[in-house]
Amino acid sequence: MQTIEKLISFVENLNKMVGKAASNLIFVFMFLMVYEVIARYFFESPTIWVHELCGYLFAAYVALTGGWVLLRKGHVAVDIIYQYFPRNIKFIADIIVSIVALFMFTVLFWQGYKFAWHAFITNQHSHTLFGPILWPVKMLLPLGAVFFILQICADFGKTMLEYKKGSAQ
Amino acid sequence: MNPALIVLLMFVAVIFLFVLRTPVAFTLGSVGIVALYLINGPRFLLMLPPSIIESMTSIILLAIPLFIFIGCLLEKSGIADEIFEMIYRWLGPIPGGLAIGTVLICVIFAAMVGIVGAATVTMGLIALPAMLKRNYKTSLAIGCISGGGALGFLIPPSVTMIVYASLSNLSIGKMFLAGIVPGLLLAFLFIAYILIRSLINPELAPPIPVEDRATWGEKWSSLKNLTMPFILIFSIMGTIFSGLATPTEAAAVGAVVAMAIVLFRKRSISKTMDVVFNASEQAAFLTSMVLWIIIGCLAFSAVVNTLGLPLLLKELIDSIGLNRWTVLIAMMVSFFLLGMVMDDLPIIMITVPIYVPLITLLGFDPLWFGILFIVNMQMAYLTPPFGFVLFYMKGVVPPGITMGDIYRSVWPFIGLQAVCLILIIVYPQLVLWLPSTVGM
Repeated sequence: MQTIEKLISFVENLNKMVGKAASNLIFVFMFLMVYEVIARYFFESPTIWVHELCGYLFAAYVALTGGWVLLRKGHVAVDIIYQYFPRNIKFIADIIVSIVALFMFTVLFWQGYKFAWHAFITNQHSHTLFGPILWPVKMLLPLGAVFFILQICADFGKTMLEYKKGSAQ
Repeated sequence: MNPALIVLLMFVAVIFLFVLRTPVAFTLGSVGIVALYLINGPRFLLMLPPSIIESMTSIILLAIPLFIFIGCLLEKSGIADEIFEMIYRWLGPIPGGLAIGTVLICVIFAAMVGIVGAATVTMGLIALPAMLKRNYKTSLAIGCISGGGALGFLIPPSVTMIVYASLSNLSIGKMFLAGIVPGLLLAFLFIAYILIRSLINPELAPPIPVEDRATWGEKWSSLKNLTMPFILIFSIMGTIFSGLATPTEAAAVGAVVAMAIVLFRKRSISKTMDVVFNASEQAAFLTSMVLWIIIGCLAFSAVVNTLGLPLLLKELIDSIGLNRWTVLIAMMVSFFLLGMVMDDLPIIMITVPIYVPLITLLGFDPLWFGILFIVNMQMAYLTPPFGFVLFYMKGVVPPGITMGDIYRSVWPFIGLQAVCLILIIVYPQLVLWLPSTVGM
């Protein structure tokens, strides 16, 4: 029992740390975008890389914060009916939700991984003047899915522990 | 299998999962994946990663965290107190003046901020106690804050518009321009309503007593409180509409200006840092929520597209011989009903893949339809029993006021929003004129 609780808190701390760290990327977006505007209008030399790089960083921003948002129950749900469920039904509903979520992110991980791996072995580059390698950004989808899967498992564990605690009383 | 039956089953599955409190993103994503697999076969799952990466690297959607960041900064900056002080001095002496002023502040806020919560929250904390202290009737005070706060959907910048425009391939700049006239029209309707009711019945919203009124010197000096909001509005809207920068770049410039405003107001680096980091976390949190809903919806809308559902519906409508206006009104009613139980984003995700292609097939303008959608979402924000604003208001009103009182106080404002909706339907130029004057 103790090990499960430790694992849960490890996953939660990991997601919290990764999510909070990724949230600081907004300062990078601001800096780069303002730099681009200044370069274009005051020095008449627009860059070829700011927009593309910001896009890739945005992918990291989104992928790495997903698990943290799940931890904080931030993914909006319609809870107007759920709140009237009795305890047992709530428990079953939570388990179904975990399974559905696990299914979705396993598929995304598997498909995303194939997609990124293909980019890696063929050494794909973007078709722009800037032309960076593409596998790191494509790898963000399976990576984001991993953070989700970890948090879904932690939530599942919490549901189980709470139900058990509730039944014992 | 009959495509209509498949779609029906998909919607049943979505409703079932919603009832179990499955997050919207996971519901749409998993139902979409299963349907895509069953209808088109396993190879079609390969479609997902490229389109997901495309959304995740979208420069257009990158405007969302920046606008949310600006909103969170301004909410904590205390800038609203300054504007309210000015409004109090200028409009206090007229009946209903503070309520009218609240609507005006909401307009200013809506023009600075892309999310609707910010104006509602700050006005609930500042304007509501001030109005109640001056013996304004609670119904009017609550109503004007609720109605005014919802203007944030319609007056640019607006995150809801960014999501709608990006899903239906419209220009965000044009959509922003399209919202300005209807937004100001709605604000005008609110103000006219408040003024007329307060003139007929001054008990409702009495003018402040003569001895409390500000002198002309005080009035003029308070006008400087508008400087910072106007700098911010200009730096965002000016750069977009002059074609100087894209909406995302303008949002970044606005974010830097907003940080400067916070620093200027707090006059302390450490206090500013607190506000800034709090806002950056909030921005990441809400953006991630929005983007994952969009990602989940990709699978769902891929199925709708491969089935050719909009075309099928068009044929069905033609074969029954339905008038296209009947269809439009049915869509408006469905928005209103969905709005009673859901937020704006899930509604966009579920309806846009079907409605927007269909509306285009029927010969309506998708930009105009987008504004109709936004006005509907404003109504949803207020409509009992689950409008967001109602619960928020319950949290800030004095204890004696019940939920029933709050419900009653928003109805006139929902009525005015409905009037605005009808005006836009009857006179599409209200929406389309401004975007047509600018060659973007």
